Amino acid sequence: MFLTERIIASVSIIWAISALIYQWIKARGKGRIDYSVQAGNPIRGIIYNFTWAMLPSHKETISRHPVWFSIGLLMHIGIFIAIVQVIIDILIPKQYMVPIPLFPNPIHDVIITGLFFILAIASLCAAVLFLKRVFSKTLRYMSSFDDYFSILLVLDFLLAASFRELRIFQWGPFFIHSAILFFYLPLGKLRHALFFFIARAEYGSRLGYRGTYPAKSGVKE
Amino acid sequence: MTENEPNIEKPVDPEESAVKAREKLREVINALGSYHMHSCVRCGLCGETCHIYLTDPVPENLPGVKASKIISHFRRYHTFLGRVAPILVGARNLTPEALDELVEVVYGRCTMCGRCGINCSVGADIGSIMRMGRMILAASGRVPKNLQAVVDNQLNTGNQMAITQEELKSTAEWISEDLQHEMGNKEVRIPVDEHGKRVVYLVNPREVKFFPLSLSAAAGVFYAAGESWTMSSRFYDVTNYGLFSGDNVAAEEITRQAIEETLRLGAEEMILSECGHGFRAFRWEGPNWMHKKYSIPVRSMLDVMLEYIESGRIKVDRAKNKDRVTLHDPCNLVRYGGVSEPQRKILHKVCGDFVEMVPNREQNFCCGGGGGMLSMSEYGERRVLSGKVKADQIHATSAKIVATPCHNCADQLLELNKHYKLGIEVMAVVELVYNALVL
Repeated sequence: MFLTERIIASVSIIWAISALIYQWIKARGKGRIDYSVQAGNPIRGIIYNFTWAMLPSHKETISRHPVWFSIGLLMHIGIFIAIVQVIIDILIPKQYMVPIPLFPNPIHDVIITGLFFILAIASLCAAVLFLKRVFSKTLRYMSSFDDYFSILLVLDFLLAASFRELRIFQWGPFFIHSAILFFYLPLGKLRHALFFFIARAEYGSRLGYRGTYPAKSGVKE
Repeated sequence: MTENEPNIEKPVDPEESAVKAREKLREVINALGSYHMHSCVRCGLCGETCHIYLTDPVPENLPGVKASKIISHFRRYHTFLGRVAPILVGARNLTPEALDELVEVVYGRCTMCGRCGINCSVGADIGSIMRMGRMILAASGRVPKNLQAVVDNQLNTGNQMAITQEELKSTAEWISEDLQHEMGNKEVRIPVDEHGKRVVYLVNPREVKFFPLSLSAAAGVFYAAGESWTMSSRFYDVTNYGLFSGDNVAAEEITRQAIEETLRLGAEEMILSECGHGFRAFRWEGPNWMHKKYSIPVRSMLDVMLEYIESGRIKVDRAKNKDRVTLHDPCNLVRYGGVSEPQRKILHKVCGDFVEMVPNREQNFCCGGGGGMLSMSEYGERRVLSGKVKADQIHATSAKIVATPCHNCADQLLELNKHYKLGIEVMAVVELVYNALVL
């Protein structure tokens, strides 16, 4: 079913992954050899930067903006679910044609309903973030077309995923909406889907090497 | 020239300077990578992490905006959409005009303190992006004149204040005489150019020229510990303004001078006086600028003093420092240097009443004097204004003494003290240790 759309979605995902890997390789540059004498542990620095350093108690952008952070977090949870959804849809075409074997129908329905609500909330969050970018003087100052377009693509993707859960959309339209997002992903700011992890790991590793991370038990605000 | 207007030497051939800037951008990307350039999502949440934005909350001062100015040029030449449809991704040509505009952003609105980076929602090291911007501007010949003058002094005379060898030697002599009188001991002195000593000690020329108390205190501490040490009269400068100007060739040369001088004197170790950016430059960046490991260890005086205290080589009495003391963390020493605990352990041992500022350690706020800002008088008003965050922190502690292991920070804190009427005394950690010595 929807073979053409499924192929388009598959190609878009392969394109996104390939282009991101290419960019990763290019972004590495020649690779850094650190000639300084190590004082700390880079691995502990990376672990710290992905755990404690991301807590409100250790990151001021969260503690000072808990609402905006939560909105962003919810949107990203939705994106993750929608991406898993599209991959499952591509790989297991008949998943919703029959009940999931492990679960009786009522549980299956609860899962689907739950996913819909999460995706709907994530869509709402994306819409709020888009409006923030439109109405905030500071964000307008620093934004280009890419910033608005990227969030609109995400909103479209999340709405498509929500509609797909409710069967308002068939697979075909969901695949096409997903493909648009994945084709654009490596071209604009959405590439942070990869570079978030790489930049945070590199920074954590460097500060770990120097002994800054894991941060000592400082008195916080 | 008005306040905040860049004070740079206009390039003779602007187009040629833009070509050099583009070449440097490529070189920097190749050498250091561009992960952080790719990761900024322009979320706008970083404003309050920056002392400059907090005291003047205009969009131009937002760390993400400042970084975006540099990233826009990166996108233009190193991303697909930036090349084919630059307007869509806010990519901009690196023209002479764009470079002129960038000067005020990277030298005048950022101290490269790195606080925004560790608090960034994504994890982009904005401080390093800003330094990449300085490297591009340095390649295009657009380093602010006063900052470049300091670098030139270091390269031409061996120290940033162009102090002659004779002046250094005579200063060492009279400080030694004063110290002998103060300690009642003829043996205590500042050795200069003595071969075969275990340690070569580097200081900030400011200590030699204007504030000899910390050099005097260091000599007292070394004497009390029975240390075998000397200074060089040629290359004793712990600072490295190449780090601030973005000129890695100059920074490498300044590093090389000091390392080779230490080896020439036959020392086993180089000890750095209390200096935030000097520690970062010599300890962390220097070997990478030189593309080789040092053959000798390089340590901060803080580590050495803690070792003296903990090993019992010096005895201290915290009752000798009765007034309340707080600590200002230099960004390059703590955030980019990883040294946050020795100074605290020392102050707990030598001060009767030590209190922390909030926030502190890796979350400390820059005093406003970092990034070479003190040497760029054109940004003086903004520098003092941005220091209000630090002034408020100090005021909240009710401390009478602010200890800071950095002479640039000390200069800025002295100015903040006057401007914001804090009623504090600014001291180096070594001065407090010297005060607490039990001989």
